[in-house]
Formats: sequence, structure tokens, C-alpha cells
Amino acid sequence: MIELFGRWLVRKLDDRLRLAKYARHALNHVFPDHWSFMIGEIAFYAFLILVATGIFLAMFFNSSSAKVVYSGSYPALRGLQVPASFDSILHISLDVPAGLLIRQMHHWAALIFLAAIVTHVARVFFTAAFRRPRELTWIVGVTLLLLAVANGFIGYSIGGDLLSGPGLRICYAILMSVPFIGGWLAYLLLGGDVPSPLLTPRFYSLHIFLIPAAIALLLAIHLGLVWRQMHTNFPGPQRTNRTIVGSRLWPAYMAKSLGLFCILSGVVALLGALVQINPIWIYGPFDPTAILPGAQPDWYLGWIEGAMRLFPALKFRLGLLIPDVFFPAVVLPALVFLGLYLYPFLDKLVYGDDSDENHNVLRLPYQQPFNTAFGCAAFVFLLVLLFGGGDDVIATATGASVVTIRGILRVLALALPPLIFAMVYLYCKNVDRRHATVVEPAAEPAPEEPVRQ
Amino acid sequence: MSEDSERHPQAAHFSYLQVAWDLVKTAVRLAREAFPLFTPPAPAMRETKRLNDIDLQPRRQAAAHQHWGAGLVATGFLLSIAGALGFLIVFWNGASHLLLGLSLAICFGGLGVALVVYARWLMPDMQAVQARERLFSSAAQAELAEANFYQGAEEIPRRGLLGWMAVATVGFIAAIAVSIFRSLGRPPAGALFAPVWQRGEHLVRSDGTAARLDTLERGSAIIVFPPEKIGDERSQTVLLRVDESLVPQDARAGWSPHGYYAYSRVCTHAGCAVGLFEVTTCLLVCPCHQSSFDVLRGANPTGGPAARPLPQLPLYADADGTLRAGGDFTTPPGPGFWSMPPSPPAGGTE
Repeated sequence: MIELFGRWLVRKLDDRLRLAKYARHALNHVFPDHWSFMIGEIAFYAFLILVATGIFLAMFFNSSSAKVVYSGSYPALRGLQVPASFDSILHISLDVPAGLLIRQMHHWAALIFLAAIVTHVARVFFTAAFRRPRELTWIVGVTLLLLAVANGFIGYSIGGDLLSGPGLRICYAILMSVPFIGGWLAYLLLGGDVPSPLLTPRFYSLHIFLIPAAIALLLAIHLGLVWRQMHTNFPGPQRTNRTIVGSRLWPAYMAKSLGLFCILSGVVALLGALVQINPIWIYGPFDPTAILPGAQPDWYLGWIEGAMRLFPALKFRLGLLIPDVFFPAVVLPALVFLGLYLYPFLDKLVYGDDSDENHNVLRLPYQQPFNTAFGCAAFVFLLVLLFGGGDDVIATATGASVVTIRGILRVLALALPPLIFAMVYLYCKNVDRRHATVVEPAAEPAPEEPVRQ
Repeated sequence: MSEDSERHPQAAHFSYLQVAWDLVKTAVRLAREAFPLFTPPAPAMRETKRLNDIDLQPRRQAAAHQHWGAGLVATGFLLSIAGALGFLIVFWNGASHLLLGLSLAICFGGLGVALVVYARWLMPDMQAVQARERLFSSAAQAELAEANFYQGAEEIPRRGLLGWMAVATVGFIAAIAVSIFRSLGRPPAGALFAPVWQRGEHLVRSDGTAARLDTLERGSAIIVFPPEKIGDERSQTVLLRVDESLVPQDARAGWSPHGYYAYSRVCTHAGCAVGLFEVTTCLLVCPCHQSSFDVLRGANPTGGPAARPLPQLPLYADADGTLRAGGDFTTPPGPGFWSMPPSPPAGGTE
């Protein structure tokens, strides 16, 4: 019965749109099977969860920062003057059925979204999947990472709570430290010095309209490019630059991928149920004179926070004042993202790859010693900075003084990356030499021309 | 009646027992199909070549799992349904956060496991080898497209003047789009340098009382504001008192009557509230990034990432012992920006 109706519907559509050819190509589209190719999918599905839970939250969120008297069900804050945004989040969390679950799922999905993107970027980097013809996919992907970081920060900053407030103060300081246009940026994005009544409506609009729309658009382009150019393969039998090996979309790949979506949703629901995240009623509303000790940003901004702590106090002026946070919080992130954007072109220089050949077979990490060593060194550098972002917490936990911890981390930040680079480079060279004596890839056979119907 | 029973023979013998027995038989049959412990598994379907395929490679031996696969998939689906029912029951009965989340996790998790096991153990698991489409146009195709573009352009009459006018129009509309951003607010040139304190103002606490010479014990600190700006982030000032014998006899000695000091409470590093006063070392410490400032030396930074001193507020006490501002901060308060004026020397004896 359902099948009959389905056939009828599809026929009627096809009579009007001539879809059969595309449908056939789509059903037989091949995706390679490898666990590491699922990481990007996790990011995509986390975005879907974010949109679904976010729509629910937006029904209740009040973006006004006007003061209201809290009268909800949390006794400790009753009668206190709080921003309306803070009040509405407490309402969602404590008084709306399933509200707390959806809100915690939203925050956990955001962390998983970022973690999946970062891991996906690492996978693509360490297998050189960014090479021709996929430079554009890479550039769109790095932009997606940038947008995800921005929207994550904006998302946890619109609560009007005491944990995010100082983060916004720091954000203001960073924006102000941008040369020449700093003031314009700060007033455009934050509406002026924090706390500004303009900030929450502006951030809310960015958080739910502009940035998600940009992410959705770029995601569509990203996936469209992956679809059109087809996925890369790891080296293996019958895997050449002219062929692709994997499961068909219908039925096996679709079932696996939907299964992954469901498992991810399950994990997010489990985290939302069991692991409390950002309980702003415990922190209380933002008060510009108060501050929470040991406050940390979400992990994907921890490296910038760490750089701000580890960077030494420079006392010099170049005619104009160079603000303290300019180098660690403006120059460093700009360099990191510039490096990411330009890496496909740097790779061409490093490996002398100026041919017009398309690369559809991945490199294994040991086959590209420079890239692997560089990537590991950069990763370790960012990891040390991330630890630097929690130096006070480490000091409290270990009993050492912050000064000691900071000194150690400064040394590590400078010494570890070159050390890691040298070790990884030599290791890869060694593995490569051993493999080179064993495997000699055969010349690519001329592929059969695909049957075109 | 007899004709009727011939048409529908079961109607005559209807009994609840019969229906129940039929249901049991159906359930057993479904269970036997789903859980093939009692029946041998059907041979797996073979995948055959389809569009664009060059070859098919077997991926792994899937048959070993087939025996269990169907049962596992069925269990996953059942778990998922149970989770969904659990969610509905909990939701309509008070919506406990924990139970809602757990049932939702079981619902999604069961479905996900069922789908993945279905795909990996039961569906034909062959790797299709396909030729990739070459993603570039032939020279002839590219030239045709280019030729059509220029052909169309040639067909546009009077494109010299009118074309440039079209471009100019778009430019002006773009100017509208850009200038609309002005409504979002421009940095008011004066706000960053606007004075906070005026000479003679009281130092007011958030409860409205003015600080006096007897307000603080030695080694304690409070937050004060100018009278008109109570609670204002940029105006927050820390008023603290040290032992008079500690006050150095430098150019700023007259700013600290009876060991009272006042500094901007906004960190010059990243703008956090400088919330801690370490009495024994006479340091103001910012809890955000652990910058420390020496109270007795014009709040010069002694550690951490801050490079500029906290702006100091000169103080004096009037005849009846009320503390008053002796002027404005030494520099505009808050984190640095490129056109920030230099901090005056602390005048201290280093």
C-alpha cells in the first residue's frame, strides 16, 4: 500500500522534473568506508541537533537585558534583580517541561560539534586530503570552524550570567586591541563597553540568524563539493586517482549514516541527562564588580585564554600604545587561521607538487613527514596554551604557585614544538624508508570508461 | 444467515480465545523470523554490479554474524520503541529531567545500534569499485561556453555608458547597505577618554554611603563609585587602606591621606574586575589572568600579563573626615587601545 503510494508519488514528480537519471546516480553514489571519514559526519549531525534543540530554546529565550525581578522556582534567587535573558534561561531550565534536557543537549551538542570539526580538520590535514582538487572544500571547512567557534562563544555569552560576563569583558578588550578599527569592531559587535544593553539582542540575532544561516550555506557548499568530487580513498587495492571504492548510498551507507546520527543523538541525550553543563543559576546574574575565581572559557577558546596568560607583559610603545592582548589574542589566532587557510598552497611548495594531477588517494601520515611533524608540533603548541588557560586551576590542584606553573608552561610552549617536530619528522622518515623497501605501488591501470546511460 | 457465514466463515466462530491464539502464533512467527536461533539464517543476498561499477570487492566475512544480527537488530528496534514510550509516559507525568534524558538516549541509541548492525551484518557488504567522473570540461565545451558569453555581451546595445551607469547604481545601493551599519552605533570618540571622577566628589559605596577616614580598618578594601555612577562598570574604584608607615614619600605621597589608596578596579590587561587585595604583600590581583599590581608603587604591574599600572585616583580628606576625589584617574580606566595616552610615571622611589 505504502509502496504503491510511493511509486505513484515518485512517478508524478518524475513526469514533471525528469529525476530518474539523478536518482539513479544518487542511489549508486559510493562512499568509502573508514571510521575516520565519519568524523565530519558527526559534525554535520551535531549541527542538525543544534538546530533542532536551538529552535526549541529560541521559543522561550528573551534577548532583553532589562532588569526584572526573578520569581521562578529557584528559591536562592527569588526576589533578586536579574537581566531578562538570565530570567528566561532559568525559566527554560527549571520550569519548562524537558527544557533543561533540551538546553543541556544544546550545549553538549555544541561541544561535540566543535570537537568533531577540530578532529575532522586534523584527519584531513594528516592525510593531505586538502590537496588538489579539494582546496576549496578545505577553505570552506576552515571558515566553518571559525564560524562554529564564534557561535559557540556567542551562545554561552548571551545568558547574562556571572561566568560569561567577564568573558565578554575580555572579548571587548581583545576587540579594542585591534589596530585602528578596534573601537568600531567593539561597538559594532558588542554595542559598546560591556555590559551594554545593546549586546544581548545583537548577539542573539547573530547566534540564531546570521551565523547559523552562514554555517548552513557553507555546509551545503562543503557537502556539495564532497558529493561532486567524490570522497578520497586511503591507498589500497584498486584505489587509484581514477577510481573510488566504497559502499553504495542505497542501502548500506544510508543505514550506517542514519545509525550514526541516531547514536550521536543518543549520546547527546545521555550527556544532557546525566552531566550538568553551564548551570547559570548557581553562578548568578552578571555583576560588573564581581568575578568567579578559576573561570575558564569553553575548551575551543582555551588556547587563546592560555596565550593571554602566558604572553609576557611587554612595556613598549610604538608611538601608539600596543595593547597587552594584541599579540596573544589577535595576532596569534590570526596566524593560526591564516596558516590553516593557506596550508594547501604551502603543501604544494613543500612537496613540489605543481602538476595538474588530481589527488584522490590519500597520503598516510608517514608519507608526508613535514606535514605530519608540523601538524603535531602545532597541535602540541596549542595544547600547552590550552593548559595555560587553566594555569590557576592547575596551581590549585597541584599546590604549586601560578608563577611556577606559568614558567614551566612558557618553557614547554617554546621548547616542545621544535622537539616534537624533530621526533615526528625522523620517525616518519624511518617508517617511510622501511615501507619503501616493501611496497612498490604498481603503475595505475587505465580505468574502464564508466558506462553512461 | 447461512449465506453470510459462507462468505465470512470466521464470523460465525468468532471468539476472543481464537483471536488471542492467532496473536500468539503471529508473535511466535515474528520472533522466529527476527531471532533466528531456531531457524537457519537465509543465505545473504549477493550484490550485483550497477551503474558505473568496474568491480565489486568482498569487504569482510559477514556471514559469521548473520545468525545473531537479526536478533540484535530486532532488540535495538524494540529498545527504541520502549525508550520512546518511556519518554512519553515520563513527559506526561511530571517530566523528570533524568528519566526524560535516559529514555530519549535509549530511544535514539537503540535505533542507531539497530541501523548500524542491520547495515554491517545483514545487508550485502560489498565494496563497489567505480570510475570517477573526470571533473573538467573539454576544450571545445569550454570554448563554446565562453563564445556564448561574449556573443551575448556583443548583443547588448549601448553598453558603454548604460553599462557603467548600471555598475554605478549597484555601487550606490551598496553604499546604502554599508552605511546602514551606522545605526548599530559608532564609537563615540569621547567615551573612551571621558572623565570618571571630578575633584571634590565623595567616594560612594553601592549602598549610597560616602567613605570617611574611619570607614576602613588598615589592610581592608571596598568598592566605591562617583555619586552619580553607582554600579557603573567603568567607574568602579577600589578604596583600600594600608598602614601609614608604609606609604612611600614620593611625588604621590599626598594622594594617600591616612594610608588610603584608590585605584581603578578595571584591569588594564583585559578589563576584568581586579577583585583581590593581598594585604601582606600590598598587591592588587586580578583573578582572571593573575596580573598583580603594587599598591604602594602607583599600582605598577609586578607579575602576570598586564604591562600598564592601574590608574590611580588622588584622594584628600575634608575637614569633617570625609574622603574626596582629588581629581580624575591618572589615565582613562580599562584595557588598552592604540590611542590610549601613556601612563604618567608613578613618581616612586624604585
